[in-house]
Amino acid sequence: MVSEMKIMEERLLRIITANQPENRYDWAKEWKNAGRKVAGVIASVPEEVIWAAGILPIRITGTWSADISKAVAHRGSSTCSYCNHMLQTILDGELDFLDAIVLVDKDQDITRFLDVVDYEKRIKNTKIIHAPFDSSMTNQKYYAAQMRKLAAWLQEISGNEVTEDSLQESISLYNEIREMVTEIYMLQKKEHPALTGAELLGLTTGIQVMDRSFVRDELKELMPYIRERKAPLKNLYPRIMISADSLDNPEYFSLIEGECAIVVDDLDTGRHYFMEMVRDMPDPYLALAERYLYRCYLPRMKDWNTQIPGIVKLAKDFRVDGVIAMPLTWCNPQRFRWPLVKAELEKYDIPSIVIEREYNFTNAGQIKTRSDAFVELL
Amino acid sequence: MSKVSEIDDYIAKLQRRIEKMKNNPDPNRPMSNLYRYEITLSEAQKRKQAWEEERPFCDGGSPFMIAILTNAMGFANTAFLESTFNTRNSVEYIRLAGKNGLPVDSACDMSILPLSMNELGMIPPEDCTLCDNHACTPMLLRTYYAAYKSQKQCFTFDIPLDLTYESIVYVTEQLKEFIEYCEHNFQGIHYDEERLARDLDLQEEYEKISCATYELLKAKPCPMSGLDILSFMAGAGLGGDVEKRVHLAKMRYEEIKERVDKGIGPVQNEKLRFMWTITRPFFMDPFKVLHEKGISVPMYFAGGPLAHAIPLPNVHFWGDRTLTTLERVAARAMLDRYGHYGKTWVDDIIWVCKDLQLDGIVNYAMVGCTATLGLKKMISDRVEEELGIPVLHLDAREWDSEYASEEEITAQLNDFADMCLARKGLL
Repeated sequence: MVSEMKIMEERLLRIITANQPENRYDWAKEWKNAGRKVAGVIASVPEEVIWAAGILPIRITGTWSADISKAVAHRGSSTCSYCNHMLQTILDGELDFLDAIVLVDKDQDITRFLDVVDYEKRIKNTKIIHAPFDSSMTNQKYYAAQMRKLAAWLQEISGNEVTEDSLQESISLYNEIREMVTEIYMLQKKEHPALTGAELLGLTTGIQVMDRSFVRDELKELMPYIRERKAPLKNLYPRIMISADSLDNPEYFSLIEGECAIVVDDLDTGRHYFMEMVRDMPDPYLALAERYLYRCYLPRMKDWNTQIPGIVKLAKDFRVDGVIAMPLTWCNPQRFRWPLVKAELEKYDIPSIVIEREYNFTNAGQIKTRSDAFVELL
Repeated sequence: MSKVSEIDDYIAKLQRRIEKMKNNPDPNRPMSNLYRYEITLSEAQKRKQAWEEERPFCDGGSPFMIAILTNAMGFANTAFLESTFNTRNSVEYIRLAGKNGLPVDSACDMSILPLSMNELGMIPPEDCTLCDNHACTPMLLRTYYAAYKSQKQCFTFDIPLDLTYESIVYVTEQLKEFIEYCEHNFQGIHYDEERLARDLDLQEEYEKISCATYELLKAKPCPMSGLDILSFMAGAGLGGDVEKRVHLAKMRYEEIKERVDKGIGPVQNEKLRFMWTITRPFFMDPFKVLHEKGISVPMYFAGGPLAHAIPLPNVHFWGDRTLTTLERVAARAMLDRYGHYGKTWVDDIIWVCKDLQLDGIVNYAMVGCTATLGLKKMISDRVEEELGIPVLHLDAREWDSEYASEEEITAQLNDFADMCLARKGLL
């Protein structure tokens, strides 16, 4: 029994640590060794289309090192540091194995990031698709058409035709993973969550660099174990929610979690990547467009009237005692929306604090001092 | 802070300027400026009247987006950008925005200031906020924030990256939805296609004259000062009283042509010619520093108005296709160079530098400019490689003189000017 638990723990740990620098490209390289193609993506790209073309989508993690001198020479330091860290990774040649990069114009910094990648000619095939800013039917149809074009482009790269069947299969696979991860999030509502916040972030970011069919099969087997698991937390209270963007280094969570429990996140790299299923519709592209445009959380999207109460509802549903917002220093979308979120949280007596951060793990002392002080007051 | 609204303050400022121009004209500045100020004054007065009459306001995104359509529908325009560039209360506005938790350090001044102006009731509140991505991320976010705060109507326009007819059709579809939405939600708002078509024809006439005026800027010495070039380029937006703007364009053309024929310009002994990009510090006249060094600035290169003022290549991406009235609006709404690929931005810079035979670029690297900051090295590398000319990336803001002061900016401009002059053996 003990050894069985140990095996399950090790299997879980394999996913949780998949995006650590030493493991990050293992899955991609294995995929390549089998003669298949790999595409770098960011959160919000409709990956189902890429998977349907037989291409492994892996989320581009920027370097976790502080040295981004090559990127800064291009873009200056007063721009999105996630983009700068991604660019440094590319200019260092770490991602030379990629067959393609597929992005959506989540914000203009992303577009400019790809402009530089194209200028430097480091990656042979690149594409940025325009994702509309609201979910009207006109926009859904437009986005579906963009995805059809993407599929045709990907076919050229992989040699695999994206058929309606292959796309439906891909959608099913992604939905299955989403369902299981959503259930894991539900387990975080319990008095004693199944995973620590750091583990959960490791899991969500790890999945994004792994073979998704392996992830599905592995999670299926791990779910019974996870359902019974109790996170190795020093303190179960206060319960905290983290709100941020492009946060993928679990060390940030570990740093905060000493004195509290991070039970839920409002992250593009975390919960948002998995929330909302793709509905079963006759046109799979339209179904994807609906999911990606309707899933309302990114501050780039118009509907702040839904997003902001949504964040408050999340905090209430998970019975959090406080919210820590950790926007990137130069991340305008999060930072413009935050004052309004804060005001809405206050209406429900949910305390919050903003702790700005760099993309790489730095200023640990200052962050810990501020988060500990906040947690102590709860 | 002054309790006078930004419109009242601007009206008073324009009246003083007009008076001064009439009594004591500057021989180095075009006399057509007087007419320009008179038009601007009349538009500001109409705006004030609309505010007093509580008529519905909608900015049309910006003068470079669909203001020409919102005007034709009967909306008044807050002209928030004009207020932002002319305010005397910038420090207070920035302070208030910071107090409210807005990202004053990472966003540009022009996206932040209008939010404080709104909060303090210094500009008319928008009854319909138009959210669109034609320019940049902070400007889009500004509208989301304003719409949420006001809890009034808002409509989102989605502008694709690709300049194709398919994109025009997509944007046109949204324009139709916008018209339907506004006619349903606002009393007195009605789409007047005849007026729109007339305004578009006038706008095209304005653009033709502007392009002809641009050709005059090839003359040496450059016939216009940096400040006048800026007004010329930045004033090329759609909307306002287009008929009067056409008349202004004609007056300006004739006047500049006469100057060219006579070999007159504000920098008589012109040694070098620079391009200025994006925006400028509004607490000083940076062009004066260059003019004193014998450097003229025949080009103010900014995304929004550019394609409406100069004959850039590939602007009329719809080719010979005849567009419907609304398609013409859609196509023009897509021309803001800030919102497109970086390569387009740099290609355009290189085209203009070649066309006007420029010797250097002052790239105003404004804090928070998501449209351009990521392109710094691309610009430097390509213009050096393809044209052999240097670039000064001037890190500064529009209003915050503590970030980069007048002295610091002047010193950087002087050093860059000296370096360029030395390169040509002119120092």
